[in-house]
Amino acid sequence: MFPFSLFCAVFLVLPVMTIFWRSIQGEGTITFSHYLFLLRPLYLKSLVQSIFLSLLTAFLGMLFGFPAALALQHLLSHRQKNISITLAATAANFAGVPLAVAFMILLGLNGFLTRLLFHRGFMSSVPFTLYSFTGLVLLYLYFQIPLFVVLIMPALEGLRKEWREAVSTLGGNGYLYWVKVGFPVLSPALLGCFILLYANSFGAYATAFALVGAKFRLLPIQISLAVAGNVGYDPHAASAMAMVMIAGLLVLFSFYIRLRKRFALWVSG
Amino acid sequence: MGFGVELVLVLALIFMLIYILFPVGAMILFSVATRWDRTVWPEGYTLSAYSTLFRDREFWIALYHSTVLALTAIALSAFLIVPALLTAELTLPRVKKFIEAFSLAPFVIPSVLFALGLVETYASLPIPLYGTPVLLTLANTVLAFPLMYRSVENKMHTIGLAKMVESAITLGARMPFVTYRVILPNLWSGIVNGSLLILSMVLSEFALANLMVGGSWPTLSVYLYSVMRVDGQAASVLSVVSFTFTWLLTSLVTVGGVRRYGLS
Amino acid sequence: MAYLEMESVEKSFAKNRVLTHFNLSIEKGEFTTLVGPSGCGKTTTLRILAGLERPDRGTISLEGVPITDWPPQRRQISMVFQSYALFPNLTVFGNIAFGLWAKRIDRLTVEREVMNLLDIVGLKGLENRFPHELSGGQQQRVALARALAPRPKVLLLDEPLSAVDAVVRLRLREELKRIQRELGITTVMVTHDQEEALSISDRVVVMNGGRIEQVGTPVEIYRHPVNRFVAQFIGFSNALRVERKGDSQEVFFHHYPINLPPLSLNGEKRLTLYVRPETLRLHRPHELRGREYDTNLLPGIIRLRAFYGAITRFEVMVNGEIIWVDVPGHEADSWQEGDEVVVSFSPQEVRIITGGGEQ
Repeated sequence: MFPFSLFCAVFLVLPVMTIFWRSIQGEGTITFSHYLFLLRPLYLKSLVQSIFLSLLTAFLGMLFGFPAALALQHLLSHRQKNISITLAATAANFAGVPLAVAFMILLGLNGFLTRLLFHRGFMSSVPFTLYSFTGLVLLYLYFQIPLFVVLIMPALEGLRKEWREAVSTLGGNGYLYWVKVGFPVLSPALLGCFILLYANSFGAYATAFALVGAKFRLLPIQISLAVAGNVGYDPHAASAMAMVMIAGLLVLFSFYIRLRKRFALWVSG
Repeated sequence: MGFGVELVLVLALIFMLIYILFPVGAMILFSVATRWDRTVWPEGYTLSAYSTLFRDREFWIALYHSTVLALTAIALSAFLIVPALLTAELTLPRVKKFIEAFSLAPFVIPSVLFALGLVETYASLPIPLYGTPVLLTLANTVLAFPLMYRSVENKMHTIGLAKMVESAITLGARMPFVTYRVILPNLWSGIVNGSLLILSMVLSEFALANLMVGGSWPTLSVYLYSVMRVDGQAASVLSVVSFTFTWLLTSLVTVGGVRRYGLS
Repeated sequence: MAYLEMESVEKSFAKNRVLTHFNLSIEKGEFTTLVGPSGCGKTTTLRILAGLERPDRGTISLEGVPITDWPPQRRQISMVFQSYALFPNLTVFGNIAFGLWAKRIDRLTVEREVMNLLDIVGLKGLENRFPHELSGGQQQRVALARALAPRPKVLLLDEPLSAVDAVVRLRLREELKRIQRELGITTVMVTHDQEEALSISDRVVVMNGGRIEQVGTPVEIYRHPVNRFVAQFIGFSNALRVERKGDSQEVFFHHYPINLPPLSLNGEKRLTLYVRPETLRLHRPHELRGREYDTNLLPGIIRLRAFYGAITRFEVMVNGEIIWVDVPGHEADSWQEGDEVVVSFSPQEVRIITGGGEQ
């Protein structure tokens, strides 16, 4: 108990408090001026870009992941389902540098698909490059879609067979079941998984950095530049950005925990 | 469900599986190709990239670093979390909320921010921790907390360990005996599961390693990042190895029944 | 033809046969209960009636119309599930209204019907609560009201009272019976609780191993069980293994003579007599002085007494075998453990099951 608390204090609480301290540390006084940095176009743009990337990939992850998860749950055998889930869990954890390598080989300037589609005359010009925002979205979807599947699976398993049967003995069809019961019961879980996907992409650093270095000024990359001690990157401004990120994530997670409780209450009660 | 709906679901599933397997397939093909930049399919096949990599001293050094990192994180997180969780569960149920909050905090704090906090804290202190593998190890241990916590806590609950320990005590057993004969054997599979998850996490961890020690003490992913700039094929070999390893560890864990995340 | 009929229905899961040549006919307005040990196929029978399970063979008909191939939606047969299966995202109102929504009935009618049902099941004022905000008994009432709302032709109840505690269960049992009477709805219930089956039903179907053992009114089933299984499963019985000497009507429990009502015994040598504990009487040995050679008297010693409130159950050891005797109310007060007693019973109260002695 004691060693655990001490360890957390020194290596978890202290660093977070340092970030907070740096974010309000002025010359001999306390100041909130570092937070004003965030309003500068460079930082504001990175904030907007980070939020947009996270929202977009979380949404697309849900859009593709939810039907895939339904197919896994309802249309596959137990064995097929297990194999697919293991594969999805692997992909959900396969982020960062090796993911960037894989996509470069597939879709890079001289990648397999690029050659196949463009160089062989299927298309005359190259309308797409991997080293762009679109490319980053494609990379993020590689782990976001399977992550959504892995996350929503327990919730799908929590939908009770009796609800469906009750609907049918009351004269309702499958459509009525999904509209009135299945989908509404799942909705807190869907929203909760969306939040986790958002957070997963909001804090991600390795994938974008491996693909294009510091070209995209996503928030984590901006902050990393300050960590690496690059000239012109102010630790105070980085700390202020970090505090904004932490605050945002805390709000999201507290919301997530509420949703989780609601779902647990519904499914067990 | 109507036929049309089922079709959409199946298509979504197939789309996802293709999305997962296609880049991996290209990566595998690239890693065994003699040359694959002019033609649609590789001009020939060879395993030479693999043997080159495995003869590279720097690869083994990076692997050694990552392994040390993983094993230390596993050992430390187990030694810190298991006793704390047990005490909380058995004697101080109210404290458990704090342990849970601290254990799951790294889920909320992205590792870049964590690196920032550690660097800002320890760079200015007079103790020689900043920039050393030791600090990196300790940071990785904190990142490992949620994984160890969830596996052990999950196991503890499914087997009802608290009741088990209570009944052992009422039968007259002393705490060391209970620990050795009841707690450890029953929690073991939970600890192993957590360890596998941590192994998988640490081996692919990039942000902390790159920002805190970088090239001075390269781990596998930092090494991969440096190789990627120079030799695409070596990078593809490493990525194939990385994917295979993640897949193996994941199958072990899902067979064991513990999921990394989960809503219920 | 009966209102609801199952004819030579068979059902297996994988290689496990659950129902074998199953015939059942139920009259309109009747309260029928399927009772039996777990795994006897009673829930499967209910699910087949609801259309949630397809029989491998046989037909089911309702009002003379074969409905075997009809989906559940079309059958107008409602079901109350063991776990209630209330929709957690809908209020009490929404749950009850569900079957009416499915019929696309207009809002005003739905509202009137739901309020009416809330009144019937005694949940007025709770219509805006969610299921997880209700007690077990209240959830049970919502489940019942929900099943009744679409005015089904048949109501199916799958162990409806098993999830509520003992006190609530008794009250709900009475209420279920009252509501069923008032609405006159044909009802089939499944339970493993024989006491529940006897107290609530017009007819009881005792099932075992996918077959029907006996069908009859509660009184018939209790007083005249047709075989060993029914005698032992319904109520509580002493099983006395007796032997017959020669071809006479006289049989012996150990060396005590027992007189039986006249019936054809088909030359059986070994018989088992089933006697309910409440039909036995206890006597002091001196009260019977001079009648030692009478029949149907078994001397023994009280080994244990257990107080059940309305009755007290005595465990009497007779020649190394235990016989249970129930004594009502205050009469029991004068008997103590260790007392020497004589157990007596009247030949009319004995059920005879021929063949074998093993239980």
